[in-house]
Amino acid sequence: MTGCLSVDSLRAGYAKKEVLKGVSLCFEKGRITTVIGPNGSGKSTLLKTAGRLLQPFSGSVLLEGKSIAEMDDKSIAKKLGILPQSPIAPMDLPVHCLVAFGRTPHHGFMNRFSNEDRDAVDWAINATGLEDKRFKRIGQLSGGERQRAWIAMSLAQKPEILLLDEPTTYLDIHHQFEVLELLRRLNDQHGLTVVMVLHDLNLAASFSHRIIALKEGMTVADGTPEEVLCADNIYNVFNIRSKIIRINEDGIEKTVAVPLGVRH
Amino acid sequence: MKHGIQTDPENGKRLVTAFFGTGLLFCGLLISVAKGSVGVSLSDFLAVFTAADANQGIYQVIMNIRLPRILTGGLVGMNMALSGAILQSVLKNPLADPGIIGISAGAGLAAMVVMILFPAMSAIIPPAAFLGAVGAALIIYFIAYNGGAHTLRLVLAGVALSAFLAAFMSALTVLFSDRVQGTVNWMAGTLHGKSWNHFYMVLPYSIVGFFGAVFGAKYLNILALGDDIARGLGLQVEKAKFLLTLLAALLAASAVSAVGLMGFVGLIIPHITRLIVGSDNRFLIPFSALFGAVTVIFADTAARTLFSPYELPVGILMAFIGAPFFLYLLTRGIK
Repeated sequence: MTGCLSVDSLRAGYAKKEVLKGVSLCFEKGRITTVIGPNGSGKSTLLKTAGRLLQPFSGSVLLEGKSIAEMDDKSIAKKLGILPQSPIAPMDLPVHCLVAFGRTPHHGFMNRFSNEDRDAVDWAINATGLEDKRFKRIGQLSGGERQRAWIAMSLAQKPEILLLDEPTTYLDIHHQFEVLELLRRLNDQHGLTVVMVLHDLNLAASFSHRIIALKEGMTVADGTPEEVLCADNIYNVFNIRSKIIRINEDGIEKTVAVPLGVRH
Repeated sequence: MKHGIQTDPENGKRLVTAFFGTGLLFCGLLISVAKGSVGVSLSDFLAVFTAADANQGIYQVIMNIRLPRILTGGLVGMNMALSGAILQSVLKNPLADPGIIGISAGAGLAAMVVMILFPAMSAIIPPAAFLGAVGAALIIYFIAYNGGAHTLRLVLAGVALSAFLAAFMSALTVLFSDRVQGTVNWMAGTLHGKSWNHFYMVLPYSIVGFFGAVFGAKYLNILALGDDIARGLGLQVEKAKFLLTLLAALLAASAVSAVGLMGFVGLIIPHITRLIVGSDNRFLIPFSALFGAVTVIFADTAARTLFSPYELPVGILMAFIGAPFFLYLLTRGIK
């Protein structure tokens, strides 16, 4: 499939421990796909391997049909952005400088910062609503603003696909929504393909076109939020009892999973 | 990144720091030339460069004793500070400096072996020291390498290797006690008796190292965002780290081969500089070079004059200042 990122019988892990045990998936272009699953199920490993931060033991990662193992680092970086979990920047780094790092893959060894670079940085800062924080330092931002600044850096890269590992970690509910609504807007208005890992099932359900559930390194459920979020799946994946309710808010049907507990 | 530089409110402060630092460097040079067992007045000093019939004694003191010593000290300070600034960024560890992670010890042992066993071949000391430094860096890197050079492992491996190499150096001084006249001072780091030969020996390494570090600043900044982010931006992280570590080894080795084991410059100067100009390596690198040179020039002047007629190795003075500062940084919790 063109314009998409796919993984084929992927096995990957750390040191000698295999975490992903043969996963084949295609993340479609222009959609928001969220990966859920318990700790150690291979969510982050999947994201890191797909974003070539980790070499797979076997299997392949294909970007627009080409194996990323055969592509050079900069070409990949122009198409694919990846934000690891809670990245760290120097506290005195100004926001616009962080965002400007996103232009790195578009530069040669000696290139100067061009007008195109400047436009990309301005666009990324505007798209993330950080205009008035442009000259603020990372240490002066709230957690949500900081996450938006990192997303702005990835956007300045002008990728078609953005991979995010738990972009809402350590954020309160307000900032969680702020970040996810930003991602939805970027997907809506700019056609950005988003693949992310989330822990919160209900946030995953309300912001994703598609949810993939992993357990012990294997895909166990894959489909729309309505299809994946059912009591059986949740019991199977997380080993908890839950009740699914559907609510209608502003004409939009929402699926909500209410966890009830571990014991029977 | 022109846009960023022009509009950054820190730039005024950086400009002031540049003026102040350059001023300090010239003051340091002048004071250093004037002070010593033979006093030199300003008119004497000017006469050396202008009058044809200058006082020959003073001319000798300035041109052949003090100036080469001072300028060598400046280069050594610059190189050590640059080496430390690069290592702190590459290893993402505020405690990294060529002394602590074993690079100086590698250079020192190699240089000492040449000095003791092949005293006639002093010209090969710098390349030998460089091989020693790179050897130490490689050993540390491969010991600590476990699917990525983990920072804490790297520093711990460096500390262990440092101790191991220092033991070798101590053994050499005991076993060859008849030939260690020079090496005792050298182990403490001294600028005593440095000539133009030393200056010209260090100069090419300093030029290569300085420009390498200035060009590398961009990559140091990207590495500061973490390996995963850097890789995501298309940087070949392991290659960049390896080349930058090599550059740090070159800088440290050139300094060590000239003056011996001068600790703490590589550690404290980048820290002080970071407090003043911030952690952006495009500024941190050149300012560390400047302040490294200034610090060693002042420290050496003090080492020469404080206990006159006795002279302390400048390395001892640096340790007197550096060690408490190091402890102060530890108690404050380094950022």
